[in-house]
Amino acid sequence: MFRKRPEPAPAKAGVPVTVEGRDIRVPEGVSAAAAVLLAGLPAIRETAVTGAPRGPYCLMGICFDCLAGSTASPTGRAA
Amino acid sequence: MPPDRIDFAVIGAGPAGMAAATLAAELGLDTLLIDEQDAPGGQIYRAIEGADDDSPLGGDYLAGRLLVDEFRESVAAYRPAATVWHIDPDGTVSLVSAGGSEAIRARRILLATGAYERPVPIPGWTLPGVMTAGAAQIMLKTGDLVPAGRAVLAGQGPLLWLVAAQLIRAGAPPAAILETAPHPNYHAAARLLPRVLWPARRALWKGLKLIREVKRAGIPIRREIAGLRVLGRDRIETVAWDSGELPADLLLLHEGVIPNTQISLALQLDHRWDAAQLCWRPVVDEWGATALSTIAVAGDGGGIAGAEAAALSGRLAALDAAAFLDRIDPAERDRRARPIRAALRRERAARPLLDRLSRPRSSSPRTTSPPAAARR
Repeated sequence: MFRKRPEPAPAKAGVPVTVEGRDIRVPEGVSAAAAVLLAGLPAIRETAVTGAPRGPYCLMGICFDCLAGSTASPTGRAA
Repeated sequence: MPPDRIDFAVIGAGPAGMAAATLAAELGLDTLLIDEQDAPGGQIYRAIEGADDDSPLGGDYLAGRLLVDEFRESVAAYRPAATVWHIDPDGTVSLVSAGGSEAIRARRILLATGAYERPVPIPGWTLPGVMTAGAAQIMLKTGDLVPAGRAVLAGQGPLLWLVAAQLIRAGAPPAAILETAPHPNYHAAARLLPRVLWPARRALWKGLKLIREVKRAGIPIRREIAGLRVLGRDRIETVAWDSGELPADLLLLHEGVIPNTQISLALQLDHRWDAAQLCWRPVVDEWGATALSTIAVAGDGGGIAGAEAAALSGRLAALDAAAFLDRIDPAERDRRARPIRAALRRERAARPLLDRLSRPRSSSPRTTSPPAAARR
């Protein structure tokens, strides 16, 4: 759903992360939600009641649609 | 030994918070700036310390560097990566961070939590691949990341055109722009023009230049879009509206920004409905002070007025806090406030026009199942 900006862009090495078993490199400092979007996952979670797939919406910590259970965030948000 | 109470706790490291903390520290207040992000800047100047001079985000974004540098050079303390989850009216701020939970006591607290994009609850808006225009901007700011595939921008307001221009500059032009501003917006805005044209000239000129930049890039633009909805099984596949549809991999929605009143509402402060901006805003005086003597508000969290106005209102709040804590007398507070208020008046001049131009249409959302009354 997102990709690295095309050239000319400063070349930065990036940080290796594993998203759902896929090894990718993400720019240093981006959120876990951004890594999920970069990896092209179809969703970041399923809702508790209906199981509907959800992806990140606001990327700024206000919508709570990016809740991911196993992140280091004390509030559960991936963004 | 740390003091049992600090003087001034500022919540939010955007322009209002940074300007307030910087000035408060200069005035001799024991100041702490608390923020959720890892670096200062808030959302509008997010990741600015790592930005390049030729960033596709443009000059207005890069201008935030000055505020950040001044804050870094100030003697205000800084607690990044911490979420405020509760505030007591007695001045106790409860935080949670990776290191655990703690409480900080302050004599005065400034809420500088900024704004967020008005939610746009169109049918299908919960499908993966539907995000806000600001979210795409955050991807650009934090990681030089752009949409992959067909990205459609839909909505109205300055940010819609700004993000479109930024994506074009970053080499990822959107596939289309669907503008939802209804015709009456332009008529009503035109009636305001004689009064605001001169004071609003800079904002208007910037807006026209952005629209021109987007048009020159050849992006298909559709206007007066109604009935916007998203179709797809497990993620977005199509963006549809009353008179058309487009395939899309990403939909970026925007219908303006509104104050982040989470904390002010949790504190049960009085709020009033702003009919021009169609949002709730906390009731504050001309210094940002509220009915609770420990709590004040500055920046867009008190009412949308933009980044420059936010910094100015942050400084007014710092002056007021200093007077409240008897570090300066009211006469000095008023004297130092005068040039700030003059600048604030200039910054706010364009606001009535911008509000009227991008006023969301009020419409009943389409439903996928019959309304309750019809089912009885």
